[in-house]
This record gives sequence, structure tokens and C-alpha cells, in this order.
Amino acid sequence: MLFFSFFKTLIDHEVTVELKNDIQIRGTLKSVDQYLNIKLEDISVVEELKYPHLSAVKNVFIRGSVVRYVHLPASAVDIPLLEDATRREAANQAGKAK
Amino acid sequence: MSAWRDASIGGTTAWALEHRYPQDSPQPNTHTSTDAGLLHATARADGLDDIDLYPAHDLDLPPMMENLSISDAPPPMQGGPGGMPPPGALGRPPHQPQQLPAQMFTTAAQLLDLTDKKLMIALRDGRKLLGILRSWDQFANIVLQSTKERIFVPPGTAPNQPRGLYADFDRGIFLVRGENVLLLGEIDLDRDDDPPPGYDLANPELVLSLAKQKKTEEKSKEKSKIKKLSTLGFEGENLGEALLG
Repeated sequence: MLFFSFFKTLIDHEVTVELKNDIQIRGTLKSVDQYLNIKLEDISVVEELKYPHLSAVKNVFIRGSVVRYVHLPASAVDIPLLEDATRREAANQAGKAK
Repeated sequence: MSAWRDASIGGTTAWALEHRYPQDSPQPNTHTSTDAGLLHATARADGLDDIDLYPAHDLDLPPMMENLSISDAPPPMQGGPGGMPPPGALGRPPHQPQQLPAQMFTTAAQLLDLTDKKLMIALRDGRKLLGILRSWDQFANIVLQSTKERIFVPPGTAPNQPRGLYADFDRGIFLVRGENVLLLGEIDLDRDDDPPPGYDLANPELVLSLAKQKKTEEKSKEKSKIKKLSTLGFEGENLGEALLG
């Protein structure tokens, strides 16, 4: 759930999603769900000529299971907050395990 | 009700309609009330046909989104109802996004905007389908209507072929299991009629034979690669299941 919440804080930022088949899609992050399915708007594709099927596409819904990386804008990530949340999540998990 | 409801083609659509109009169907419905897809279906049957006017990301709660949440249990998230941040969520409530309703962040809400639109669906086996999204559920199992498969042949597949070629093949209705979906792309209708840059519409038979030829070449390449890797000690359990562009 930590990463779900984290991605929710990145809504409306520009991100690049790299898929497991090497396609890189850049666009505005519009939504994310519990499976980390991602919705991007106004997309542009890196090496567009190699992927002609995406030439007329403006918005995409990407299934979370096919994502390899999400490239984030460093300025949009609040690192102390993320560290804090990560420790909290770890403490939670440890509490549950007992 | 509206035109799209009458647009059924043959018997196969029955599934889609039944899925969307559970109360029309005499059979017991196997979905639970928390099934996000079913909530979607129920809400639509209430006569809210104009949902596409309200994109789900609208900050003002559109009527459709209210229906998604209030009529029944929230999506099965740890966070619980009413936009409560999940336990262990980022410490202080991050300003903007957390104020958005939690039900916006469900598969259902994401797919809702795409319903009844023309989409490009890329499948795990490399196929590209163009069709109209008519139904779906929380796993991204989807039903497509008036589907065409578009086959692309990149430049240089045949000798003296400087430009890429493509052709469309009518396929009808598709029910795609979610795990096979790579992505759904909403097509910009302004750009839909232009051929992709560097590609030309070509004779379907020519495209088909070139695509076949390319596939055989790739297969033998892949095979020799796996063979070589196995001599180096790589098991290659998943090597055969490469994702295709």
C-alpha cells in the first residue's frame, strides 16, 4: 500500500513508464490503482517510429503487471517523507507479523 | 435505452450485456456486490447515459462517481471507505491527491472513462487490436466490439522496402482475459485516419505473408539464442515467453 499511496502523490506530474517490452511512454500521470495500473495522458513515445501502433494514441491505461520502471521527476519526490513512511510501513508489517 | 445498447452483434454480445445489466438477467449473478465492475454495470443501468461527459478525474464529484461509492461497499482496499489513508500511508496527508476521492483510484474508475471509446489494445503476444471497449471488470478483462487486428511490417522486412506497411483485418467481438493485456490506448480521433509516420496501408495478403515470414525468422533467431544460452548454463525457463512489442 505504501507505493500505491506514493504514486498517488505524483498525480499530475510528468513520468516516463518503461514497459517490460522496452517501450518507454512519457505522459502526465492521471491515475493509479491498487494493482499499480497506471493511466497516462497526452503521451509521447520514446523512439516513436519503432512503435507505429501508438502513433494515434493520446491517453493510455497500462496494466501494472507489464511495467518495468517508472521514471520519476526527482523534484516531485519528498524524500524525508518517503523515508518516514517507509519506516512506518516496516514497523506496521513487523507488528502484524507478531 | 441508448443506441449502444442496441448495437449487439450476434450471440456473443449477450455476455457483455448480461454483465452490464445483471438485473435484466434471469440467471443468478455470481458477482459479489463489492465487484467494482458490477457496480459500474449497475450504475449504468440506472439511466446515467451521459457519463462520458464527466471524466472520472474531474475534481467535482460527478454523479457517476458518487454512484460508484455510495450505493455499495467500497473497492477492496486496505484504506477503507471515505478516502481514509491506508495504514502506514505517507505521514502527513499530502496536499492535493489525498483529497481526491479514494474511489477514483480503482481500476473501475480508470476504465470507466475509456468505456465506449475506440481503443488500441496491445496484447502480450504482440497483437494490436483496434476496437470499441464495451465492458470490463477489475482485472481488466475486457470486451471489444467491431474489433480489427492491425498488423504492422517494419521497413526492411522485404528487400527494397524502405517504408513500413500495415493492414487491418476484421475480427468481430473479442473477450480478452486481463492477464494478456499490455496496455489500452485511447485513440485520438483527429489522428486516427492518418497512417502512422513511416508506414503505408498495403495489400492485406502481402502484409500477412511478410508478417509470417518475419515471425518465422524471429522464431529461429530466438531458438538459436536459447540454445546458446543453455550451453552457458542458463535454464531459460521464461525465455520462450518474451513480451513482444
